[in-house]
Amino acid sequence: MSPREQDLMERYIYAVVRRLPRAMREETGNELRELIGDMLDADPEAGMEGVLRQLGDPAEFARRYSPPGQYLIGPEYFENYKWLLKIVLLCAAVPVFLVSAASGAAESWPDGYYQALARGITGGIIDAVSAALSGFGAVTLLFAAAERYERLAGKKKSWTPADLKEKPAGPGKFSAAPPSWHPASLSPVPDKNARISRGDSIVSIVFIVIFCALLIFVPDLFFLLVSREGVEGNWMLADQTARIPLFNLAQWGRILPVFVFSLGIGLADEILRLVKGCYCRAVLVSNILCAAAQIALSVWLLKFLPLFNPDLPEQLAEANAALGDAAWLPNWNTDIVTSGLLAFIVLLTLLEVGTTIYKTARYAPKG
Amino acid sequence: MGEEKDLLENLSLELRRGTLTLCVLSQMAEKRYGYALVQRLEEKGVPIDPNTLYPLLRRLEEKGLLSSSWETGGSKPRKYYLRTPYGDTVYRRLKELWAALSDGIDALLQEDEP
Repeated sequence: MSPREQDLMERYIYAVVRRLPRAMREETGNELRELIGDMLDADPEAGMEGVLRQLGDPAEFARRYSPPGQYLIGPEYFENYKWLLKIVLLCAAVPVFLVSAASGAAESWPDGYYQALARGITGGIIDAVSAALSGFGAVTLLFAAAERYERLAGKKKSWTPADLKEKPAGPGKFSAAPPSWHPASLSPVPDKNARISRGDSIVSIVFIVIFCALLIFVPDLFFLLVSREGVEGNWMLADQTARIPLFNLAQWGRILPVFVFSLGIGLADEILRLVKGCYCRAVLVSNILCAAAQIALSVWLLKFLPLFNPDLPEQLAEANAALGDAAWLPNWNTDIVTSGLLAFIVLLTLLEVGTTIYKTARYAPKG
Repeated sequence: MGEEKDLLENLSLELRRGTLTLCVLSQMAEKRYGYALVQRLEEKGVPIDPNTLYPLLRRLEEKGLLSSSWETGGSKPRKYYLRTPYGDTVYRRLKELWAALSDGIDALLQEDEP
């Protein structure tokens, strides 16, 4: 073997093994070295190039080595993933773009019309791209986790037909033909009342994503607007109105992660509902766990973190003084607001869990 | 014409794919290295590309049907494969299945002859 042939062989081997899992590389390299040497000995006329041509495209060779299941999100979830990704990208990017562009434009309004427009649009595009990327990351992470979990769970326990009863709408979880499958073990098509409306799930998901995106990218959007009575014309004029931030933006770095995490839990729960499509044990368990986590996080957020702007009462009073007789001045008491909000959240969450328990017990396929 | 040739090639590839495991297992009662197996199968009229055989050997080893060992005594290091006892059992079962299947297919194809 000439040095040139040696070099060519090593290049070929490298082109194959760099596409393989690390643990396989060295041994496969040695095997290929042996194989190529043998082939060259058997047919010296062909030369190294002839031998390598016979072996074919290194990418194809490597592909044949790869174990099945080398993907982040497999065919079982891919359709749902693609579809949800569209929704999330759309409702993260569009509202963030509009709100961010509008608030950017309003801020630089005094600098002139064109400048305000240019700044608003640039800021809006940057925020929208970031929002879309975050949404893409979150959805991909959720589905990749589900895929991984299913694969691990699938490896650990062997399939029995009884599994079908428990998870009637599990999307293709048991794709491999089971060895002892019997039609009698098929669960009935879920009762109409047991089905979870796709529309409801989508509305919740859209709401959560939009709210999340706005909280992350334009938190100063949430403000109280106080205006002078009978203001006519441009309400954006600073001397006629006062914008008082609702949230504690100075502490936002501490608050936002908890807020987003809590919304993220709700999102995961909704996605599970959407994927399962009907009330069943998995939906019930997820709903109870998510509800507990969300109530705990809400208590933390509302009672232990300084969620609301601490200067709100003073700023309201100031605004009142500056604007004279304000048309509408909310009476702000942080304690009452947080307690009321917390009670509302707990009530709503319990109501949802109650509905899920009732529907699961009453209509879910028995198994 | 080209299309028909491609189609035929694809179909024959698919037809052979499932049987290759059986062919390879049949030869592994004694230890062999990869290229010797390529040559042997070709002699017997069952040609198999090395880029199909090597990954297949690796998969059969992972499933416990074959075992392997490197021998460094000769002119260059060689990896030898050998059927395991589990591989023997699986091979016997596959052979029975093949016999039944090929009888059935023969009967079907003969029916079709004028």
